[in-house]
Amino acid sequence: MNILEIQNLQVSVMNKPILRGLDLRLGEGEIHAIMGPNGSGKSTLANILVGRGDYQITAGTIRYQGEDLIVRSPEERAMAGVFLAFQNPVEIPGVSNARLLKEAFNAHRRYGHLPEMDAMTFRTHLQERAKHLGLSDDWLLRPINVGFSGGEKKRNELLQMLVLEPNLAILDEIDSGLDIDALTDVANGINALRNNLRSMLLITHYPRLLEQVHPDKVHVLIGGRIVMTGGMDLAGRLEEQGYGWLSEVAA
Amino acid sequence: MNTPVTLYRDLFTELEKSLPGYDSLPLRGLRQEGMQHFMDKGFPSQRLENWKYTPVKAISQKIYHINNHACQGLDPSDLLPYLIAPLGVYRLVFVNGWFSQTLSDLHDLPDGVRVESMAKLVKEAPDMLEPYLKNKKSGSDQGFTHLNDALWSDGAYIHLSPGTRLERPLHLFFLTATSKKSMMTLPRNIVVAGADSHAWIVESFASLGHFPHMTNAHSTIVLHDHAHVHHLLHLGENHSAQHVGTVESTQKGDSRLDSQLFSFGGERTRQEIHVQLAGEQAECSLDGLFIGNGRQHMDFHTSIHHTHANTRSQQLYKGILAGHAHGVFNGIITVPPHVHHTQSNQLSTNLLLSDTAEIDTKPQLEINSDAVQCSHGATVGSLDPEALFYLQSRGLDASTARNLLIQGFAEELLQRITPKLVQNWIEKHFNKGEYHHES
Amino acid sequence: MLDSNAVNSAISQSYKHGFVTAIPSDTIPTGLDEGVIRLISAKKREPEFMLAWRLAAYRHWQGMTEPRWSSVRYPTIDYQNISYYSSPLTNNPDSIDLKDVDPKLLATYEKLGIPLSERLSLAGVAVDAVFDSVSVATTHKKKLAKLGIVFCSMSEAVREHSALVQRFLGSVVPPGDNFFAALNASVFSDGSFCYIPPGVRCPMELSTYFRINAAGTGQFERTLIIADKNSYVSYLEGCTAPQRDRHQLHAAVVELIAMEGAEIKYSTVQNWYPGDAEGNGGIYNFVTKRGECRGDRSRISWTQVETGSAITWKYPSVILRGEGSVGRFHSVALTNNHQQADTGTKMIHIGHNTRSTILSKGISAGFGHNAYRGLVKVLAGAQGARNHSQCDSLLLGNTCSAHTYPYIEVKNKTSKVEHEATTSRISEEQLFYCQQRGLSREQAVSLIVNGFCQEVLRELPMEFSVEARKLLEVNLEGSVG
Repeated sequence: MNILEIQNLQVSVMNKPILRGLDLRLGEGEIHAIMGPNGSGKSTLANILVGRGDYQITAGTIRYQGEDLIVRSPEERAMAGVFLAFQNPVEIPGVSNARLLKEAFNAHRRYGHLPEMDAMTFRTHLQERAKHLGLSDDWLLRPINVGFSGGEKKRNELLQMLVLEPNLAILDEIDSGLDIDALTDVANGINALRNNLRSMLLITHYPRLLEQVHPDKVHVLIGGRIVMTGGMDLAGRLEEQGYGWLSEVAA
Repeated sequence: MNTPVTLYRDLFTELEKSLPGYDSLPLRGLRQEGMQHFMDKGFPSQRLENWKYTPVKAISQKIYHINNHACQGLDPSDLLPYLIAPLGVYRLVFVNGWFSQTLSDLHDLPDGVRVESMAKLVKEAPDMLEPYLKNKKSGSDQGFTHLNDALWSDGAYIHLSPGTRLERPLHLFFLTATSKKSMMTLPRNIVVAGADSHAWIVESFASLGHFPHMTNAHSTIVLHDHAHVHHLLHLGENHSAQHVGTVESTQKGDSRLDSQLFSFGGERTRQEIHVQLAGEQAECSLDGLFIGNGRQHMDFHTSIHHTHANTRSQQLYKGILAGHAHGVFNGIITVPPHVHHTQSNQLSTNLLLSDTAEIDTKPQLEINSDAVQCSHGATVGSLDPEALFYLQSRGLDASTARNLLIQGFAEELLQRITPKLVQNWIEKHFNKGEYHHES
Repeated sequence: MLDSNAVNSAISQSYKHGFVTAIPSDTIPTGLDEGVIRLISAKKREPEFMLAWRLAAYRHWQGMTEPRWSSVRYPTIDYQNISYYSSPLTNNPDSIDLKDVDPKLLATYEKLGIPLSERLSLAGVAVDAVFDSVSVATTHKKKLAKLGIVFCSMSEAVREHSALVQRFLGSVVPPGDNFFAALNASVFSDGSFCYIPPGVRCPMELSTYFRINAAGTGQFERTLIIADKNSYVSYLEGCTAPQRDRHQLHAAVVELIAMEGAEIKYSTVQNWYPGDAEGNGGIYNFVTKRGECRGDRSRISWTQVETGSAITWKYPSVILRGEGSVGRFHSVALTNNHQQADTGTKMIHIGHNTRSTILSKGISAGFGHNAYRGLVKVLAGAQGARNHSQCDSLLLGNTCSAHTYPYIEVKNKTSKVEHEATTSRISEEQLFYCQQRGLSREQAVSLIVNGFCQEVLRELPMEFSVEARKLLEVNLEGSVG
């Protein structure tokens, strides 16, 4: 069964069309990569899926677990298991990671009609996951993203994903601005989260990450449409030849 | 009983007919209204919040004589020490409050730029000036302004047509030739920068001789869309001088004002700079550097009103106070409700160099809209003993080390002066500054 | 954007402490003259010196005019239309036994979350409960007395510890200090008194819980805390009042005195009734709070969380007289709906090497008006004085305001003073980030505001900090969506 089905999605920002009829199907447990040049609409797609304002959907449907996603509020989507690892996560002074995650985690629990987890149990839950990513307890008490380096912010996004255990994770350029070691850490994090129920969309410019994650499919997004779909070989070709050869297909 | 207020009224009655603009009914009316306001309100009281740190009594107690004619007999060579440069600068000189044709130099003014003596222009085209001379509302903290409204003598009228650029700085030089007979001068300047115009304007004040005198100056600056004006104010009068000045600027969309204030002279100085950012994308920068020593009082008040969205302002005022000097910085930024995306920051930093110097600083914010980015700060401290020691350990003597650190403190503001010509001139004044001899 | 639609759609929860206790009271008729002052003094069976002190203050007050320099706006107060004394009839002022306290009063405090029975009370907190004009009970007195600590109502102190009272009362806030302090000195009815003897570290938090119950009255309590040499005390103050549509005046005076090496921590969680969403009713909280670090190396810190009151107007201050003394001020002030706050501090550096820290967090929502007003004054003799101030304002919405008026007056070159301030709002990115993690906008705002106040909240004792977080949450309700 497909966890995500997008049909003929058309989206504008300030009346300027960005997505022009995008179709995408993502199966349960699958990882798809979406590649494309700057301005092709990759981040718009990510933002639309999590319900960010400032975008107008002019046509098309998005079904998540068989149900319409567009009508839901951002927090409903989150609680239903849609997670976005932000490209540029915002800083929130004074609010610790642990605090946000506890609130968020319990919001998810309430949504799933589960009892809230008490502070101590949650702490253990959190610490285990932090350890998994090699993050110290101290990290959990730091204010969200405040003074974090680029790599630390990305790692923090992964930690949140690990704690909230989404069904659909959208990772928006999780690999941007990372050196090789950090990239490997991130790839390991993604692989650790991989299971046959969790699906992921990896939005990226570079095949480096994909080489370590091995997505099931690679889509190329140009001009607001998916113009080609393939496997890792497609990613390799993009690295060698860029996007130029695809512009005819896009036209 | 003769109070200073009634004495000024008598003076006004005596002088009125000889003051510029008497022949124009509206302008005569404005002067009379100014006098009336002054009679009603008098000089501000120190009980007023904005005058709390200003020794108003000491400034206003003395009755000054007002000259109603130009001063003759100055030789251009008398001026040399005060000039930015003998060449490469347009120059308007006012002696004892009145324009001096012979000392001024307006050669090669580009087309579209009009620079005139106010006293002269008011005779030829009073209608043109009237809109810029409208009095402010009467207020109990406006006494000095009201007095200027009533008694202003002369000053510069500068009009830049749309698209014109003044490539050379324009120096407005106000010189008081002091004598035993203490004199008050009341200059009034108007700058109108048309759309897309650009100018460097330097206003400077100095005294010949050491006798007490008083200056009560007022400048109005209007910037139209995309205009860019550098306004540099140099206050360098003698140590018996009282100086009260106001600059009021209104900015239309996309305009930019760079205001720089350098205050080194005077016995008591109070300068106000008020800016209205009255057009989207208007921007202003207010810099100030003041150095006080002996018993000098230096008092600076700025206000920036972000009345339109997407406006930006920044302020940096630095004070260096030695001896028994008293410095004041009082700045306020206001953003009315529903004005969005304004950015402003304001910083007042101060160095106290002696045990008897004092600084009172009050950076204020009045923010009534949420879509803003505002910050302000203030610091007061002395020279860092570690830095002093470091320099001395490198072989500098104590006083050199000290001067180096003081220069370092001021450097940022000096560096921002353009053009180079003017920067060199201010640096020269700064370097002979009196912070050198402590206490 | 925190637009008005969202404001309207957000849930609104009413003031939780707005109930009235039905209890017969001895409330004197409205009006103020010497007779009223004599009556109050007589009712409290005060010694002669106290009456003389009150009358002198009253005569001074008569010659004073109400100050208008702050940024708060309110209609003229009719001082003849206030009752200056109201006491629950069943209260026996002399009894220190809880079983003599009217059960209705005990129930009231229990409902407010402050059980007065020592068995039920919070371990580690001794409470003086002030109901309208009088103290109705003080817990843990005996335990404290063993250490020589005096903790009792002001009325009791005036009678039982008159030497201490005479020596210290008005020594920090003189009776004629300001209009409201003079009014308080004339008519103050009760409050808490606390004396910590030399070398004693008070083993529990001392606390006063102020409750205004009767209508048409004002509350004028007076608190005096003296920490003798090398002693320590942490003191908490809480306040609530019923929901009434008429404004009520609360004009308190708090004086703190720290002798050599002593430390006083004074924390307030102020939750007076703020008035309704339209600005009707609510308490006018016009309070004079001042501490003096009288001895060398003494320390005073004020921590306040101001979420209630229609108008809050107060500047808890520290006079840093002792060498090496330390003053601290930590404040959170939240104004929502039509609330106004003009608050801040004064740090007066007199002694050598005195240090002060100011940390102020203002939050404005709805039509709230929030002003920080602070003075840092370094006198010529304050060698090596240090101050650091940080004042941050957060605006939620387009109809509220945040003003910052710091006054910095420095006369000593060896001192170092730093002030920083920012004004900002919650960004849409921050809200969205939290929403993407599953929080509603209300939860997100509350979380971010809590984070904004974090540095101040952590200064509070644990019990109070939890309470304060809840209050912020409740008081933000209806302000965002």
